[in-house]
Amino acid sequence: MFCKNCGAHLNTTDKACPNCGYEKGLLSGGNGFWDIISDNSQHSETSAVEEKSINEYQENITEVHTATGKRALSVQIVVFLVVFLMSGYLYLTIQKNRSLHNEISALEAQERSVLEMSIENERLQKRVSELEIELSNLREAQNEIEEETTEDEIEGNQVW
Amino acid sequence: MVEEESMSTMGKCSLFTDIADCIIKICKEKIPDEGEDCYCYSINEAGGMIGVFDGCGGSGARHYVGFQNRTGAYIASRAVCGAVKNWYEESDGITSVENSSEALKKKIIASIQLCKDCCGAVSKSRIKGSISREFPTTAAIATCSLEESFLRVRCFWAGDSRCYLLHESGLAQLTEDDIDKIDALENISEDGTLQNVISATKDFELHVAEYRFELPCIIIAATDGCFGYLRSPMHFEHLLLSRLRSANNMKEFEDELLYELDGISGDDYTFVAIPIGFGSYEELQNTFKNRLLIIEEHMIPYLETEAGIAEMWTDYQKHYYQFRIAGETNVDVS
Repeated sequence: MFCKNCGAHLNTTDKACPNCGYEKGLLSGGNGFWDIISDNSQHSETSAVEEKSINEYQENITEVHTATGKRALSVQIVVFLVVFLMSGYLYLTIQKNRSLHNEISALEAQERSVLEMSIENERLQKRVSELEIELSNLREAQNEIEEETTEDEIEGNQVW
Repeated sequence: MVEEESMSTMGKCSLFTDIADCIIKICKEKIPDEGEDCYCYSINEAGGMIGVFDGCGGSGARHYVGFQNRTGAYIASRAVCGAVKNWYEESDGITSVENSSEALKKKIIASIQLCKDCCGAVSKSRIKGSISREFPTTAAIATCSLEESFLRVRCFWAGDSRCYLLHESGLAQLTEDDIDKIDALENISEDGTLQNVISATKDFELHVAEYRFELPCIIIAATDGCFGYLRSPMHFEHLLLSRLRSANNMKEFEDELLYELDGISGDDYTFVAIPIGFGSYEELQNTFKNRLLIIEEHMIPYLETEAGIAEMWTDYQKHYYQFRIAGETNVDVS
């Protein structure tokens, strides 16, 4: 290999150019996430850019596991509260519906009662009318009888 | 004579670290600390590996509460990057292409699944739809090893990030974009839709291809932020070779390339490369001197207009796409 700065020959083990001191750089590197599915780290040294990526990934994986656990508990609590509140709301709604239903039933019964009374009232009025007519007829008959009696008395007096 | 000496020298240098010249790496975030590109590399005596990863927008724009509100794309690119690096450094020796790809895909799936399990609820998302991909990212990976005097390169990829070979004969694309029926030139103007990316919620194909190249050469992995904002693949090759010529050393090359891409790219961009077999920066410049002359004299003057680009592309793609079909194997791991 040769130095990227001065072109001098470099050995594999050189970390810097023996001629100009320019840092040779690693034989292995990049800016990806290392060891994502490997247990052992492959590197003992990395450049600043590569180190940033590795640390960021490792921190994030740790944060993800912790955050995931906390988040799951929070979600469970929220779900429980929501279910509880919804259940309460449903219960109250059902109760209110029942009382309204009862009121409606009572009102309907009252309405029927009023209707029946109205019908009975009409019937009674009709009967009263009939009785009035009958009374009137009886009075007329009585008047006729009284008139006949009066005429008979007058005829009797005349004869005597 | 020179060739024989070179070959005998190459035969003695059976260690990859002896012939790998350096690692070129550029990674720039469009928005600081929110970049969704990622890269990795690893060189040892047996071989080398470079990889780039580009977290995708769309459903990848979802933010995850359990991960400091990072986007799925940010998390995915880094997780897959780590998985690839672990896979390479844990693999023992040379295995078949299928075994190698199968092991890599399993590692990638495991890492993506872990992200999905760990990241918890989505904090904000305007993306709706039942067929969206979670934790989407592209990947372009190249592994190299010595095989006698040749370089054996295996490329693994999904999406539109690319692996290239830069040889004295020119630039060649080693991967094929997962964009339906669009070539590299059309993709620049039409911005096709990705058909296949790594994700946690949709199955994906991890393409693999194996090649053997003569040394010296440069193996490159790059996300589309590097090449997608240039007018053509020819411009990309010219950019690389012209910066190689103007820079005095590899560090300056990195700085100049970074400066150029900063002025061009509208996205995160990542570029990783391994020059292999050159021995020195001067030799590297000499190797590509003729190719740069050809580009500047016979291509650049014609690349001012769209018609000129299209005409040049017809000839250029014959070399650029010479590896297009040969050697590709799709691996499906259920």
